[in-house]
Amino acid sequence: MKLILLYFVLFLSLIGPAFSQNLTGFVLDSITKNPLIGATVRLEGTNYGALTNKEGKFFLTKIKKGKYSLIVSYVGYYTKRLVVTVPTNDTLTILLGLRTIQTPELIVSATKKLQTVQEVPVSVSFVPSDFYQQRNFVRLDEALRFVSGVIVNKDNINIRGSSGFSFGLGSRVAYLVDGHPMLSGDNADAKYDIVPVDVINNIEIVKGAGSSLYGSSAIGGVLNIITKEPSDTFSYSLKFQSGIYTKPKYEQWIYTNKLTTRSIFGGYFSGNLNFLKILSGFNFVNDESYRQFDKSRRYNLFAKFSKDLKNYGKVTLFGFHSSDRKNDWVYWNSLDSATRPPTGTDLSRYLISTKSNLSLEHKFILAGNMFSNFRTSLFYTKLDNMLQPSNSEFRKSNSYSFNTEIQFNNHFRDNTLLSYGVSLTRNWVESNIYGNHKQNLTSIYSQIELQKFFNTIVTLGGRFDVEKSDSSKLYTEFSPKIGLNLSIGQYKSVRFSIGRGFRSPALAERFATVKYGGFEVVPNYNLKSEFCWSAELGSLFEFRNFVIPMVVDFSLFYSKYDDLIEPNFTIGEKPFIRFENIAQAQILGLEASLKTLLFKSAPFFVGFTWLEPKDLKDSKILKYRSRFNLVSSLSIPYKFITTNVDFRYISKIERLDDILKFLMEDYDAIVPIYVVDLSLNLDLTNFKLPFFITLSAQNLLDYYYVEMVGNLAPTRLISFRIQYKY
Amino acid sequence: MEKFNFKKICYYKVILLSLLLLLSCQEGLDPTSQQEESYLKGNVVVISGAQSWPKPDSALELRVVGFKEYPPRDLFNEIISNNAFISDSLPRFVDTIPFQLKIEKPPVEIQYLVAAIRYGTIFEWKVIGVYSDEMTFERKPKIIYVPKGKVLENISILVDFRNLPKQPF
Repeated sequence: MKLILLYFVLFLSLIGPAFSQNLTGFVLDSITKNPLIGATVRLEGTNYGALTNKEGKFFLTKIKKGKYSLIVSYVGYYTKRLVVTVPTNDTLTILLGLRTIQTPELIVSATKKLQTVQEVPVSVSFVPSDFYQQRNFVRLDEALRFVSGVIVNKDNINIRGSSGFSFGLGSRVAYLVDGHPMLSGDNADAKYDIVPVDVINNIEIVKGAGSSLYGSSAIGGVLNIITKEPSDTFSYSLKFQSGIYTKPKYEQWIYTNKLTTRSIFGGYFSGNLNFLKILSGFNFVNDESYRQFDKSRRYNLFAKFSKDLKNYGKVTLFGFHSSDRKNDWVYWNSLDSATRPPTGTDLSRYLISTKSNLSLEHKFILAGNMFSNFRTSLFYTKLDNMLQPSNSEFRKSNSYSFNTEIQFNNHFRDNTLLSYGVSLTRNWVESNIYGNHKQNLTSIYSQIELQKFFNTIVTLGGRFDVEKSDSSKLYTEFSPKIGLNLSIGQYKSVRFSIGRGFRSPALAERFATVKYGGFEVVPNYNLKSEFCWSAELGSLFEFRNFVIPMVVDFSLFYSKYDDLIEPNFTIGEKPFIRFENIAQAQILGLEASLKTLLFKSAPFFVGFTWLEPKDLKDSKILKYRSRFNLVSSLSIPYKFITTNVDFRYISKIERLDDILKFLMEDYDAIVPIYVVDLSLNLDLTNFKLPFFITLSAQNLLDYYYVEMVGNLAPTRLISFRIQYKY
Repeated sequence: MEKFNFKKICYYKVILLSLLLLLSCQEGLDPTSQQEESYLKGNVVVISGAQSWPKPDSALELRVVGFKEYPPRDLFNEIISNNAFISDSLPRFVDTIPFQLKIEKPPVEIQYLVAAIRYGTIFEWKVIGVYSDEMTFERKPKIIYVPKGKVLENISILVDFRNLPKQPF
């Protein structure tokens, strides 16, 4: 609250005279000279910009005199950067060239400012909205499975081997929605069903330690969901999707004679109400599952409002509410009955999980070349297994995570950008399993970026964090980072970065007091942060005029982890489990990806990751890690039909926790993963009908595998979707 | 230097894609492919009668455990070190309890086959019956050789709650 007051004091004191200069221009296709509607025009480093209208015209108003770098981008076109001097009497005409290969152009998550992919010092991946729309995906993690170097292990996202399997506790990836942190206050875990997929514009994934900007949890990387901007014109969409799980080929896995289904009803609305722009979306999902007693019902609501306050910047307010009711069991009965819950499971039990959020952002041009970005958000989660409090298995947890951040960007000497900020995170939990506790994380950070420095962009930054939970000591962390990006020709760059990441323990890890599988989990008030150093050498080469156009990305990376938090089983007079800083590990790896066009029109992507994850205490491979991961996608457009074939391979997990044999049958039933998905998309707008139809087969070959031990992964799902778009 | 041929490169890529699809034709998990395992089947027989069972809070669960070596260090560590096999949790408070013990990676020699009850945490177990020819306090264990892919049946582990065997740990 103090930070919010401080911001408004600063805001009021720093409002300078209204700037009176304007900048206007047109954005056109370089060949046809047709206007590009909805192209983004931004002043670099400011997040201040505009979209082009129906004539391809843009207006940037209230700008201070000076020299600016203008970035112009449009989906499917090469991004253009040009230097403009304000004031100017000229109306700019900017021509953009059509891309042959679709690659991400602009990202915000790598350095907390808008930047082209060729300029960032770290590896980034990008999932565009049409990727999951065209495949009938309803959860984010379904799309993340096709990102090179990313492995999804039920609720855990593992970037380049940073995470194993921890029941979702303590994400080692910073999880954001439009830059706002969205890890739960109790478990510090990520919920991948909070936002309806229809309102997502894209997902950005930054690989490697990112705590110098994002603080705790960014030990393995950053995952930022970018939602769509409310549009200037009215648009809306409604969709209905339904699919069936085909029967498994093994008789002992067939638990019902009926075909089970997954149905979704959703839509969105976007428009300009003159005084306010609005985007809203919803989703209802009813999943009967491919397993017995595994049904779930979920709904998501999302709304985003934005208002241009002219001289006072731009305000965006968004919020979501999501609720999920699902049956409650963790592991299969056995491999022989992999679609059934363990014998003796109470079939009347279910869990209700609720997630709600309200977030506010204010972007503002302060005096001079100084820009501010203020963010604040409250994320609430609730889990209740609906038992009576007198029941020994009763679980209930209410958690809150309140985040506030003020970021300033200061441009000076044409080639230097200084970013700095303050952030405050306060987590608190009220729970019968974790107790009532609070955690505060206070941080300051700063980053300087030197551009045009011998064709190199040099980034130096650091962040200082202070963490304090009640009943525990005060811990401090300093996370520096150095990044270099050397341009070695047009669309070719070499990058290098080294930085530190850390993760403060989740309240659940520090204060859990629960009985689990015959063990008593006891708190550890002295649990401190885990940390890592990670380094990367990479290159991004785009060959536009080669025989076939292609984009090649290559990375060699190394991470060393220390004080990793893991559950430790202590045998003594009173045996117990306690989360402790016990593991040391290193991961050496290599990642390569290729994007190209087959037959001049069919986009093809393949990405390969190799890891050597080593536990430094016993010199064995780290638990729950795979050495190889390969993802591949081919899109074949033909008239109004686009066919997508996607393939993913993950090598067999080589080491598990042997303690699991006390908890489940056939815990070691693990195989390599080979999954093929197929989808057919029909665009009926060619026939002047505002409909899109998608037929998809997820796990087309009905390959049986597990991602999480003792849990059969989804079997073949054949879905049909019809969507009306206006 | 050989000139790049667009068609040739495309063919290579189609071949690559076909290979990926072929790789996907692997079988995956198969519940019927467990013939590599062997089983011990039989009964835990409470000769002292069903009424002789200890109170429920002293017999939280019953399992049959086969140790590869005798004497074992303790039940928990031998299990997680893969030196012992453990059955599912079995019914309690009756006088005859059928069991099935899966033996992974046979052939294996089981030197010590017991019925054990958990009386506290997962580390707190008490041996209540031993697969043996005698009912003395020592109860010299009978060794069982388990061949590959076999089911050895009719194994009886006798339990007398009035005369429990010597505890190995």
